[in-house]
Amino acid sequence: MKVYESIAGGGKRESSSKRIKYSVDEKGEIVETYEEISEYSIIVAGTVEEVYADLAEKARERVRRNIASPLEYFMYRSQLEPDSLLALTGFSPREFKKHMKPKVFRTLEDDVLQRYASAFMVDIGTIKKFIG
Amino acid sequence: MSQKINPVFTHYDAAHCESGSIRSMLKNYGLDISEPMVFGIASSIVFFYFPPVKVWGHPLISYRMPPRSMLKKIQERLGITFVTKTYQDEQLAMDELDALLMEGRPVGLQTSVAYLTYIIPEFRVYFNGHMLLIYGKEGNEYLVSDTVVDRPMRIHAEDLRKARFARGQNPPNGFMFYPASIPASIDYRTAIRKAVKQTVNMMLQPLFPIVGIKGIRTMARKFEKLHRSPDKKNVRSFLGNVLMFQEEMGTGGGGFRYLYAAFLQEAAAHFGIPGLEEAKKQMAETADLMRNIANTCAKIVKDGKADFDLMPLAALVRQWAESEKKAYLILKKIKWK
Repeated sequence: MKVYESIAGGGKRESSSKRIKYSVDEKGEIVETYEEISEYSIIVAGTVEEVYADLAEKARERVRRNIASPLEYFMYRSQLEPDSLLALTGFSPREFKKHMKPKVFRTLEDDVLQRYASAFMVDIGTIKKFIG
Repeated sequence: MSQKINPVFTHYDAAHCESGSIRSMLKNYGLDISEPMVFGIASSIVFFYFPPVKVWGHPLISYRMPPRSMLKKIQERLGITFVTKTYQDEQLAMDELDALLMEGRPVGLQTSVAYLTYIIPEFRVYFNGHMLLIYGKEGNEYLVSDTVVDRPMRIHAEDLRKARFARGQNPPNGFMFYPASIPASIDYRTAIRKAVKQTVNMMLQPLFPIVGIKGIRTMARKFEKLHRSPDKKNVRSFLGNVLMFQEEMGTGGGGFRYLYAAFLQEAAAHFGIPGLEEAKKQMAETADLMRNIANTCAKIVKDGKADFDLMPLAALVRQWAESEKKAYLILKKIKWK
């Protein structure tokens, strides 16, 4: 896994991309080896990103046309599914469904929005200002 | 500002976070044990295909037992006592962690990958079962020994707090562990016999179509069904998911089979039981087959073409089921006495 380590002044420096893997050597023995970050990670990260970017783009369009709440856009931008968002925010499916309506979204209190903002790792202002 | 670093702590990296953390913890507390031994004795290998739970929009596929189960099994089978604790009060959890570090004790934690800032953002997924060790504190930063990283890392106290108290599926609730006592002598033979028996029973279970060898066959049927699906983009995304969980998440399915083969190899070397060596070879063959499946998935996902054939892939998955079944049947026939 490629990681970064903190350096003085709050910056980050690339540190490592090696991790242990077990594999079979030429004698048929299982051995420990180091592998660089695998191609699989890069491919999969790309696919997941592509799928959610697509969903987020569609949601953005729906927000623009005032038929979806900005929460839908941020949910997909954060690569979350409704189930995981429910678990992260602690809302019931019924409440969640209501919040996804643009009309209801505009009336939401800051403490409700804060729960979503924490899940999306953004501030409330960013969600409130989003118009598509 | 508190400042405490365990002067004798050694960072050991590993293939998988939980088996690696337990192994590193035990080694730092004086018990010399390998990661494959921890993995095998805890009966951690499994296959679980569960469509009702979705991960990134696709059915949950699990190749290992859930987080914390290794810790429970290691306690039970090796007679080691771990102190384990969860918290409701975040501040109390952080204070107790600091107090243990001040005593010079490395502590294991369950965390969410999403808040581990030393990992690049692309890989910070909402997975709440990641285990790591904390072995010191300098100012506002904790010293982290994350066994899937090849060197120690650092994390800001606030980020660690968020990682320990992340919400979502399987929340860590500040879970913490460290060994309280390790027996002077351990009966590895009995532990391994019990562990192998549990794994064989689980993987060959005849009742549920989503668990063990039956689960792998169910997944093969899913591939056959998807072959007829017109939504190729969704199919590619499913294959990406299979790839991710098979080869990347927590060392992946193929990786777990190599790890289990390494366990069988070590057990065979200790006890000289021929069946263990034979099962190891079969398990290694299975792992090679799984890597082949991963490569095929990767090729389809990477090419991005609309006309791909899933039937050969489904056949490979069926082959994997048969190959893995053979390994368990060999283990089942072993005479331990």
